[in-house]
Parts: sequence; C-alpha cells; structure tokens
Amino acid sequence: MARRKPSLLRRALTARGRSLEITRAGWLFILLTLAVGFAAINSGANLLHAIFGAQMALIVGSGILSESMVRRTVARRVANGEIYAGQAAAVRVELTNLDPRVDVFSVSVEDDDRAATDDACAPVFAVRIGAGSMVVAPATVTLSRRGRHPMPAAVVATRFPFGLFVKRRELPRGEPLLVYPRIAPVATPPAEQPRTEQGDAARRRARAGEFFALREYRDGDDLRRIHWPAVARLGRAVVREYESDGDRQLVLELPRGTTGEAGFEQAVEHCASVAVAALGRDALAVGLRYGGELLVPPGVGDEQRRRVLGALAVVGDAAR
Amino acid sequence: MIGVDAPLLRFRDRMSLAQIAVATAMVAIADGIAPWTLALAAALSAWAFLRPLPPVMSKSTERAWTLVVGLALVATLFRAFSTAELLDSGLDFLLLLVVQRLFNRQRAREHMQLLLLGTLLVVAGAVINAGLNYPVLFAVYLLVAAMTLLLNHLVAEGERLGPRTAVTLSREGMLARGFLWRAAGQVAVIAAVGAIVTFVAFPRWGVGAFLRGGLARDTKSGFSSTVELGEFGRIKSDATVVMRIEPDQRGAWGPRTDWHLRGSSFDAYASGRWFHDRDVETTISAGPGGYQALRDLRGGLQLRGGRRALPELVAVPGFAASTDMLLATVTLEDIGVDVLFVPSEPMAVRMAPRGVIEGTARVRGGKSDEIRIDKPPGPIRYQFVSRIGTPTEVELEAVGDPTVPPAFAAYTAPILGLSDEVSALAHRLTTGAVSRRAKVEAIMTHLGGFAYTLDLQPSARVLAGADPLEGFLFDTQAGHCEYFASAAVVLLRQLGVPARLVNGYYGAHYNTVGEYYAVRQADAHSWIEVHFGRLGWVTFDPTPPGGRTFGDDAQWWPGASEWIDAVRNSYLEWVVDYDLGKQLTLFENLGLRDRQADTGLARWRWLLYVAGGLAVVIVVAVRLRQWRSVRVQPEAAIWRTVTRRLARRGFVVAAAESPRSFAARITATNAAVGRAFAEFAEAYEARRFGPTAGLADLSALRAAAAGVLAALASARR
Repeated sequence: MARRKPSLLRRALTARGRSLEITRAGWLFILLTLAVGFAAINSGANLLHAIFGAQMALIVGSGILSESMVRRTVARRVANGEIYAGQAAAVRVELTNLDPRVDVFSVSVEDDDRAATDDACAPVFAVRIGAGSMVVAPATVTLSRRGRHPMPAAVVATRFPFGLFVKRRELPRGEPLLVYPRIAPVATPPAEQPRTEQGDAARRRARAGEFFALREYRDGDDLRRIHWPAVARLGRAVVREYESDGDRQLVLELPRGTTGEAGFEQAVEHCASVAVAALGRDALAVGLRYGGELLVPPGVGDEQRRRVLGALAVVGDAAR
Repeated sequence: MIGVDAPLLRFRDRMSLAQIAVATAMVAIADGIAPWTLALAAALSAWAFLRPLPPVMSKSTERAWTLVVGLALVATLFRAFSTAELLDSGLDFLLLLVVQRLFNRQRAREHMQLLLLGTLLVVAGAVINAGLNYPVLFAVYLLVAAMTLLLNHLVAEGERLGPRTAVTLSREGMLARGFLWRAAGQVAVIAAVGAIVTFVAFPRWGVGAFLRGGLARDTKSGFSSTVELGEFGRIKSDATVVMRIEPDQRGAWGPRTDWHLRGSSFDAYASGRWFHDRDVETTISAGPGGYQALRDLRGGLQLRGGRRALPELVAVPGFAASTDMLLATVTLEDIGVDVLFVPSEPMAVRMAPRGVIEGTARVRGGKSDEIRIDKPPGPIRYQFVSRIGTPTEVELEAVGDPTVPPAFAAYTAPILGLSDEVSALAHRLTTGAVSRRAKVEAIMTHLGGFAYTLDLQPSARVLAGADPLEGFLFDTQAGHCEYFASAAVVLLRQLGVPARLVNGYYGAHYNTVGEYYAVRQADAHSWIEVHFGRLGWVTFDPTPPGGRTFGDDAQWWPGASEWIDAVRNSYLEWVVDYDLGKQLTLFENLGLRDRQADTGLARWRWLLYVAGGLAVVIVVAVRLRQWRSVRVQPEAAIWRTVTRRLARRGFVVAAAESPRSFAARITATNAAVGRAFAEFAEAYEARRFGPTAGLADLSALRAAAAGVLAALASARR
C-alpha cells in the first residue's frame, strides 16, 4: 500500500510502529516555554523559573501520559456483516484497557493519515476506559475495491492530556476481509429462461419440493440439510438437494478480464447488481459463468447470493 | 460541530473564564492593571459571556475586531515607547485580547488562545507580583488551567473527528467529569513538582542580555519629591507591614523600638505643600566594607574601616554617643517609593542583591540627605549603617547658637506666604532663649500642648484662604504629625534656626516568629531635624507621644498577623530573593555540594561531571539508534526474552529447531518447564503464524511467557 511521505520531523519521531507529532498548539506552547525560559535565565527572576519549570513538566508529563495511554490500550476492529466495495459497512471497535489499576483517557482509533488510500474507517473516540475494562464503539468501514483486503491502516491515537502532542501506535491490519463488488440498483434482471434438466447443476434447488440428489457439502450450506446417514456411510459431509417448484434460472455470463481494469470491474459490478436483484425475486435460480466456465451453479436463497458475490469478489486474472 | 449550548461546551466555557479570571487576579492584585481598565474588562467579559454566542462569527464582526485590535496595538506601541509604560500598556493590550477572544470563542482554537493569554498574564504576574498571594493563585491556576486544557482538548477532538463523535464525546465527557477533575489534579501536581524542582535546582545565571526597563511605577505619596500636607493621615490605620528590619544584634532593642526611620526630607514649604528648594544632592561614594557612604558638607566621611572590615563611625567631639552605631538589613516591600529608610542619621547603605537584575538597583543621592535609588519593581533588600546615638541636652546646650553655613541657607529661609502672626508667635515663644537648644525646646513645649487628632476640621481662617498651618497654630491647635512637624519647622525658620521636615516611619515591633522588627504602614510619621553645627542634624519629634503609634501590634489577631507576616518574609527571602548563593547554601545543607568544592583538585570535578554526562548522552543516543533501526514484533521480543532465560539454565534452542521440538527436548529434562514452554510455544505459533494476529493473542502469549519464567524459578528452588 502506498504511503504519504510524512514530514521530516514526524519521520524522526517515528519508530517501531509508534509516532509522535507536535500539534500547532504544541508548537505555540513550546515557543512560549522557551520564551519564558529565556526570560528566566536572562533576568534571574525566581518566579519565572517556577513557571518555566511548570511548563517543562507539562511538556514532559504530556509525553509520558500520552505514551502510557497508547501503550495500555488494545484496539480490535471486527466487521459486523457483509462488506460491499464503496459502501459503508458496520464494524465494531473494541478498546481494551490492559492496566488493571489505572484508567485510560481520550484515545481514538482512526485511519493512519500516512496511508494513501481511498479505504477509510470512521474514527471512534473513548473519553475514558475504566481500569481493566473494555469499551465497544460502533463504526463504519468503507473499502473501495472488491477482493480480499485487510482493514484500512489505522492507529490508536491520543492527544491526551492537552492536545499539544499526538501519540500514535499502528494497529495490526488483521485478517483480510472479503469485499463484495459494488452494487447498483438494477431494474429488471436482463435474462430469464425456463429451467431445463442440465445435469445436477442446472436444476433449481430448494429445501421444499421433491428430493433431487445428494451432493458435497459446500461452505455456507444450511447445516439442517446435511444428510447424516449418508455422511456416516460415505465418510464425508453431504447435503440433500430438492427439486423446487421454481422453474426458471439465470446464469450470468462474465467474460474473462483483468482485475482492476475499468471495463472488467464495471462488468463485475453489473453482474453482482443483477445477481442481487435476481436472487431477490421468487423462483429464479442464479448462477455465474466466468469465461465460459461455470463458476457458481444456479441456486436460490441467501447462501447462493453470498456464493455468487463471493465468487465475483475475487474473480479476474491478475494484472501482469 | 455540536451546538454551542452543549453541556460540555458550557462547562469548558466556564472553566476558560475561570482560568482567565485567576490569571488576571495575579496581575491585578499587584496593581498591574488600572482599576477602570479592570472594571471595563470585567464588564465586557461578563457581557461576552452572558450573551447568546452565535455559532459562527460574521465577517463584519471579524473585520471590526481586527480593526479594534490593530488600533489598540498601535496605541500600545505608542504608549510603550512614548511613556516607557511597557508593562502597563502591554497588560492593557492583553486584556483587550482576552475580551476579544471571549466575544469570539466558538472553536477550541479560540479557547486555546485564551489559555495562552492566561499564561502570559501569569508570566506578567510573576514579574510584578511579589505577594504571598502569587503562589496560592498559581496553584489554583495550575488546577483550573489543567482542567480547561483537558476539556478543550476533548472539544477539539470532537471538532476534528466529526459531528457524530462530537455528540458522543460531549455526553461521555460530562459523565466522566469526576475522573477528568482527578486527572487534571494529577497533571497540576506534576506541573507543581516541575515548578518546585526547577525553582530550587535550576542555576541562577541571570545573563541580563536584555535588561527590562520602564517598569517602575508611580512613587507613593508622602515620599515623593513633593508632599501635600495631610497625606499621611489617610494611612495611619493601615496595618500592612511595609518593612522588616533585622539588626545585626537581634533582640538587643527590646520588643519595640523608637527609631525614626527617615525617608524623604524637605526644606521648603508653600501653600500647604512641602518640596525641595535646595538643589544640592547628597554625595554618595564607595565607603568601607563595600558600603556606599554619604559624605558630609565638607565632603568627608563619617565612617572608617577597610574594604572587607565592618565600618566604624568617626567620633564627633562633644558628642559622646556619636559612635553608637546600628547595622541592619531591611526588606522593603514595593510600596512605590524610590527612597531608602534609615534610622536617625544615615551613614552608609549597601543594596543586597536580589538576583543579577535586582542587584543593579543604583543608589543615588537625594535632597537633604535622602537616599534615593533607581528601583526595580518588587521588594528590595538593603543594609545600612546609621548613627543611632543622640546628643544629650548638655551637649546640645554646649553648642550654643552656631553660625549657619552658607550652604544651609535654604534651611533657614523664612517660610513665605504666612501672616506676621506666625513670626510674632515664634519670637514670643522663644523670648529669653539664647541657645539653639533652648529655642527648639520652647517651640516643642508650646506644640506639646496641642491635641493629636486625625479628624481635621478646617477653621474659618483656613476656609477664608489662610494657610492650613495658621489654622492649626491659632485656631484648632489640633492635628496629626505632619501639622506638628510642619509648624515646628515654620516657627524655627522664623527664628533663623536651620530646620527641615522629615517623613518616614516611627518605631517598629519585634516579630518573635520571624525574628525581625516589623514596620507597618500605620507607623508612617513626620518629624523635624535641626542642625546643631558640629553635632550635625539632630532629630526632634514635636508630635505628642499619644499621637505616635510606636510600632503597635496589628489591631486584629496580632498573633496570627505575626505568623502571616513571618511567612511572607520567608517567602520574600527564600522565593522572591532566592539566588545562586542561597541555592548553593541549600545544596550544601542537603549534602549535595561540598563546601570545599572550590578548592584543590576538587575544583576540576566539574570536568568529570561533564565527561560523565557526555558519556551518558552518547550511550543513550547509540542505544536509541539501535532500538529505532530494528523493527521487532512484540511476539519476537517475548520469544527472545524467554529463550534467553532458558539458555541461562542450559536449554539452548538449536538452529532450525521448531518451538514444539524444543519443548519436547526441555520436557525430557524438566517436565514442568517443558509443559510451560509447550503452552508458550503454542501461543507463540498462534500469534506468529496464526490467521489472526489479534492483540488479545499477545496477552495470552505474555501470560504463557510468565508461566515459563515462573516454572524456571520453581525449578531453581
């Protein structure tokens, strides 16, 4: 991932995933402290020495306090549901204070401003996290591209106590998330045809209707459809398929293309939009064919929607 | 942005106002701001605070304020350069900026500016406020400013992170108020500790690269170059301690003294006003013992002694007590005067340095044996040598009626503008008196029959335009010290006796807590000096004894007053006057500095300190560089720590050996350690190679590592 080049000072104050930045108010405060220090040294005035000392203590104390806030805070971002490219999806941000004795104040989880990306996660802020406890805050994440991507680069940051300095610690990016293609409203599915007997895959399947066949268990299948006697006999997970009353199907055709190419991406998004619209209608089985190869056999229901979108999320040749 | 009436914003507003109020008080208590300016600023601030705050400042308002501030800046610069009132004009300008910010305080940025303005006021207060109130207010300011900064920081975060966060933050911020107060208190304590440590330990260099100037304030009435008759009456009930005197021989003067601490002196009177007519200033030059000595009429010194030895008084023939001397150190509060107070006949003074800048206070001669200085702001300390002895009546009588030297003509000049009745009275009172002592005695006896009062009622004669002294002498025959002293000088002048009016303080009472003599504002007094030829100027006090306060105790709670004043004196000595000398003394007392450090080889010890400090800096820099150059994942660091500890016990991980096989190898030797390491290895692999490198796994890894170390410790036992 590309990164914006931060300032020289910020680079100098960055190491091992931690960074320190001086805010504009911080610069003003430092300048004022230096001026008071100069006046104190120049004049020998005792009370100016005391003020200078207090200001220096505030600067040093600010650094120590902000460091301890960041060090004690553990943050985790968990996606709550499906994620579509370019659309805000719900995430849960868990902020945990590891210290069993001392509270944590004023910490935020926000995007790393050095990351040059369109991906973004809404910031969350906790005024106080009690000793040894956790605060859960809702947020949203927007990932711009389909595929498998980690969460946007983020930091645990604090300006505590006075907003003079920003202390940041990078968050681990975590497990990649599956980002479905962008969905646009589509009025009517463009192609519908009566369902014909075309082998196992061509039949519309549902939980209702006549028993059709057994097939291998696939990720996302309803556990209630597992045929346990057959599992015991065959030694592998199989599920029952039924002939539904529905009699129409739609197999989406996606020509081969390269991931990231504008035209191909548009086609993927169109396919995804049609699939979602078509699967919303009764008695219409939807499948996906990529470059002539049947990628997802036709089917209905929510699981089928996830299968189609999942396939569309990662489909495409790698760019050379 | 959340609405301007959100609870957190209102709370932040109140705290902003509070911090500015405390900072302003630190300056205002020291008379740093004119009362009308303060009242105007307070009224405008109240208006700004109470009016509904618009969500955004309009462009026209912005332009109007820019114009006002620009004009005020020009006026401030003009005032600073034309009248040298640098601090006064600067403070007025600061107050204007405060008002401007209070009117436009919508964003966190403006509140941060208010905090910076508050800090500038606190700094200004440090320059002009030497009162005991300053550290108290400073402590309050630290707490209030810390809380304001905390709240403003939260609001700024809300502004930065967007409206959704701002709303949540406002609600949670209000819920966490108690915790925020506690955090602010902790931060204030950190700042206070920093202030104290820096105050005590930071070397007092006093470079003096840019000397401050134009800070001196108006001279207080009563001790300026002209005095209106009756000004002292107003301060006779003021119990404020203005001066503390520590004689070299403590306690040798009893609980109360009758010193006449002379300050200003006048030789001319007209229309109820005393002033200087004789244009000759006292000559002051280097004397023995590092003192600056006053020279007499012939330019001679009344002191003798070496440069380092204590000075001694030169004996005056026919004046047995002429060598009775008082050496003392005086702490004079900043009462707005540029004159030093010395009892009886001042011989020499020496300014006690108050840091480098304060040490530059220059002693200069005044009129009529006054000692005036170019005074820096704040209290000053000085030492004096004075002839405390007084001639006996016999010695005075022996002088006769000496010829007045031409240089003293101004002291014998009759007072003009008075009726002939005054002259007639003077001659009638002294009929038959030949010697100067007899003439003075006759006048004193006559005035001794008058009544002392502060309640002055002008007589019909005075209302008709006569001089107030005539009303005192012929009508009311009642008044306070200035009237008695003025009348005595006027009458003596009619007889050709050289006399002058002296203003100062009379008497002092011993503070047993602080072990010094305290002089209060109420002890302000007027008396006269009469010249007796070779005996010099002799003090006479025509005021009846009942009218002299004589170093009375405070009217209310005298015991508590003594304690408070002793604390105040210690504050002046150990805080305001804390200098390099006191710093070194403190370090010696704490055992942090060798008294013999400046002798022998120890003199080069500082080289060792410098070399040691340099070595520490280099080591820290190298370690920091190494630390920064290696990016170590936390699990790798934990792995390294654990394997190092195991290696110390003989369990060395082989090259290319997996954690699990290493665990098995350990188990073969020590089952407990092996089991613990197996758990650790599992956690390590989960963290290092697992699908989710969650931070929760890190906690598990740390716990497992602690288990290995505990097992190792058990195995050792």
